[in-house]
Amino acid sequence: MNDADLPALLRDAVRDTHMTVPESDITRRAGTLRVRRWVAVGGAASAVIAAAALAAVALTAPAAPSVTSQNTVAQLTAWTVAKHPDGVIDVTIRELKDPAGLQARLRADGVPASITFSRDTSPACHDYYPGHPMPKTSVNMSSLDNGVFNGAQETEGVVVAIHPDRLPSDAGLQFAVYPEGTDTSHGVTVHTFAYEFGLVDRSPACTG
Amino acid sequence: MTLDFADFYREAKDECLRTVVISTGDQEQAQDLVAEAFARACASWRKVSRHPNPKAWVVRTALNVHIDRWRSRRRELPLTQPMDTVMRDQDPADPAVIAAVRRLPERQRQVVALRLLLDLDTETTAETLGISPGTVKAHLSRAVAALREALNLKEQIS
Repeated sequence: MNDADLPALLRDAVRDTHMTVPESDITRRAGTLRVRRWVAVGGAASAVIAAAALAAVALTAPAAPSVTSQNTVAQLTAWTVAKHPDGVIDVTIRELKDPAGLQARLRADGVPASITFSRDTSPACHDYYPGHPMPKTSVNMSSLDNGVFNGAQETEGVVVAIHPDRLPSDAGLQFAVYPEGTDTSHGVTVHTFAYEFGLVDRSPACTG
Repeated sequence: MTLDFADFYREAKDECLRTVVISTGDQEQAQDLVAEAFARACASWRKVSRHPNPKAWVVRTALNVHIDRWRSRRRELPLTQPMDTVMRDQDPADPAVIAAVRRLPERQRQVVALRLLLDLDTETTAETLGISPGTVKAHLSRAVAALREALNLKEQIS
């Protein structure tokens, strides 16, 4: 054997080795990763399923935000921001309208945030990795993310509870909610949406 | 033009798998690692599709994935076909070459796989593994010498 033969020898040794995992399994797994990276929604719910519920709510239940005497509530048709006495902020998203308004409201409430109602997040934003730019473990990130915010499907829409006091001083929040497609599997046409929530580096250009 | 993930997966999956098989010396583990790496690529496809070498991204990610994490998650998200079964159904790689590769130190295996199998240049290999180009050259030189010796010896014995 001479050195020039080595690449061919290696290729020949593994030529019958094939990746047999279907692409559908890969993309399904990717969907789970996306959800886990960005937000915990009742455990292992998929983004599309969760978002379909959002779409259904938007179509069938016009916004009717409640007001309680102990909460400070900003009422808008598309979304609601409710600041509780313990500092927790609930964001309820019903329709994909006025992301700039939601972003401004959160920033005014002391939450550095970047909000888009499209897949195109701000190029000025970068995923937050505590202490080091690369890499991080998903377990630690998930724990950190979930400490700062938790998402859930409620009858009135997607509700995200934010704990500003748990937000690292150099991090902010990024929400991206966007149309994902159309689901006709149940005999009716439902427009589906996906959402990605996560921590990003805090910076004037990204989180204000 | 943005590369479509499905097209990328079809085109790159075998090459990435073979590279990781050579890198790790473990076929069964490699299939799991590469599946996880492709899933991560899909989850971050907007970024990965703009990477100068998405295949190198997948291989690097596969090498960084901890297998125990993937298996624990697989219990929560069953695949349509168990990966261990998939591997047993396939013809094994050439055992002599795989055995010779497996005896190399880990970093040498990775350099061999990226340089000779994935055909990356020295600079891209260095960037992918997070080492200097000089270190890549040194590892490759030692690995080639070791493989030459092991495989020539094997030929003489047989």
